[in-house]
Amino acid sequence: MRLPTAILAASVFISHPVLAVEAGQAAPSIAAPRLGEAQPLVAIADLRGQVVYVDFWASWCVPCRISMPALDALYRKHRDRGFVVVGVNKDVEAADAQRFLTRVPVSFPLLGDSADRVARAFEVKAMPSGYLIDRGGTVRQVHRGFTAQTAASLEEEVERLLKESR
Amino acid sequence: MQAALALPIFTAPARAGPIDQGEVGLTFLGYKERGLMKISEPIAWGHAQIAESWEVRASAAVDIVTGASPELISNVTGRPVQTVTGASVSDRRTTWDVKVSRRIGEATLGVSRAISNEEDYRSRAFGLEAKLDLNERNTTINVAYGQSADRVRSADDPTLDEPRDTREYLVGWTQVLSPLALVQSTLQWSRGHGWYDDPYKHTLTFYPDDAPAFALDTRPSHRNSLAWLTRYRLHVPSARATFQADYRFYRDDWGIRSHALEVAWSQSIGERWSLRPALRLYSQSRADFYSAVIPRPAPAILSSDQRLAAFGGVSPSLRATLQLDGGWRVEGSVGYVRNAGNLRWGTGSDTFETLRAYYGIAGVSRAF
Amino acid sequence: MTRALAAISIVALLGACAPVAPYQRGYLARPDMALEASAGTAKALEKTYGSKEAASGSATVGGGGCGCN
Repeated sequence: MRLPTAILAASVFISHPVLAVEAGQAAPSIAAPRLGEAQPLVAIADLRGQVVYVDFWASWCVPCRISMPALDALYRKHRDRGFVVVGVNKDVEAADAQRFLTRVPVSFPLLGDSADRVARAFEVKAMPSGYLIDRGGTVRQVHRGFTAQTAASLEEEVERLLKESR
Repeated sequence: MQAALALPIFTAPARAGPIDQGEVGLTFLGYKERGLMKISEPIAWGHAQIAESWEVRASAAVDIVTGASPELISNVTGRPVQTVTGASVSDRRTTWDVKVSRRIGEATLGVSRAISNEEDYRSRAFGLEAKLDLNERNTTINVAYGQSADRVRSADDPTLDEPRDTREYLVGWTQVLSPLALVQSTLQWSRGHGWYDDPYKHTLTFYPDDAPAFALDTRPSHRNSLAWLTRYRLHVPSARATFQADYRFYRDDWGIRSHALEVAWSQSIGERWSLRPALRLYSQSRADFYSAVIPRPAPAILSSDQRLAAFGGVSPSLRATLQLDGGWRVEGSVGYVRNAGNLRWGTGSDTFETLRAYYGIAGVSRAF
Repeated sequence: MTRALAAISIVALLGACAPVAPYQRGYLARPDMALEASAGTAKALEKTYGSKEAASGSATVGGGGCGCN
């Protein structure tokens, strides 16, 4: 009984190879509908030329209560210079997301992802996750979780990328 | 005298979801046993996340017991005649506990301290815990060690002042099974030695052909136990409800084996309410040295404390929770407990005096 | 004892099969999916049942004892 039990226990530690979209890679070309709608699909590739921050959030994600207002402030500040935040929502029910948004309103575009296609394309490993993409479509920074440091680091990097041309 | 080991200091070891920034609450327990004892207990509790990787949890409670514990007098046929000790007893217990933990990568380390003070009982305990999240936080293993140094005294006998020391070891596994289900299983070993006798209890037996026998409550000077607890949660999205099942198996070297099973259905109603009916079933075998009467010849170790008898219990309960704006939550539970000899899975002690009790728990809390 | 360890190992093995992604945890974050009730309620329930039964033990250690007569 000892050896089979030990093998059972040990096999748990064999995890699947973990891939992730990291800095330096091209942003996945994926499209998703706006939050609460089924059509039309918004493609991330259409935003090429702008600095894009793709943020994965949900109503049940506690750090999102801090990240969403912080990202909204950043968006308002730099949108005229070609910066856009795209919030990809991971709630199963759009109603939960809407309830969160009445408490924490944001002005940047929001997409739904009920089939998990966008999250899988970006190989999201944590909630929230943010991917900063430059004007040329390359991922430059990945943020997992959200703290005060994340906000500061993001602000700096956004300023830098906005100065870059295509 | 019961060593209620391991008061829960914190909630779910595995974070299936993110934890709150913090929460504070006040809860009140009222417990009334038919005809006898009453317990009132206010509990203040809270937890907070500090500086991103630290967490503090603390609680304090005051236990006020009025009424009395029954003192058993038995006769030769084994039918106990229950009497209540003379004047009403008022007993007060104050408990404090605090736990500090730090997250380092996928691991969490914690230390805890618990203090309990009564006129006739003092307990000082500490605990150490380590948790590790694996498999993209689908799996969490935890190990813990706890140590308790207690002192037993008696309001009736000022010369009594004895120690009781306990060590506890725990291993646990929590596993996310699917986006809708998770399970946790923990094993807890406890090794204790010291004074276990209840200074307020005794047994008096009348025989038809002999002088009556009297025995003070005496118990072994050690107690080693094993508890295996498994919990299961399954969410049913189409019903907007969650099925909950908890099972605990317990065994110790006093001869006691017990099973406790609670099943519950937590139903969301509207946006803010949830209602949770539950049913708890309990069954325990008697301690080797338990007897309602003193046999002849009288053994060295004997206790007629009902809590060591063979009995079963059924306890239905209902909990309602209301989630308000601003992180406020109001929660209330009511329950009925019935322990009886004939409710046991197997044969119960036929001298067991059926216990009927009601309890109510009301609490308000604020998350921030 | 061996059965208990085997059961825990089987539970663990089940988990190695299909990890739930971090963005699929909406349901698991529900309060009714927590493994214990809120701290105050949990403590009250432990007191209620624990003081009338011989058995004890939960998912934590180091809670100390009481002279529950």
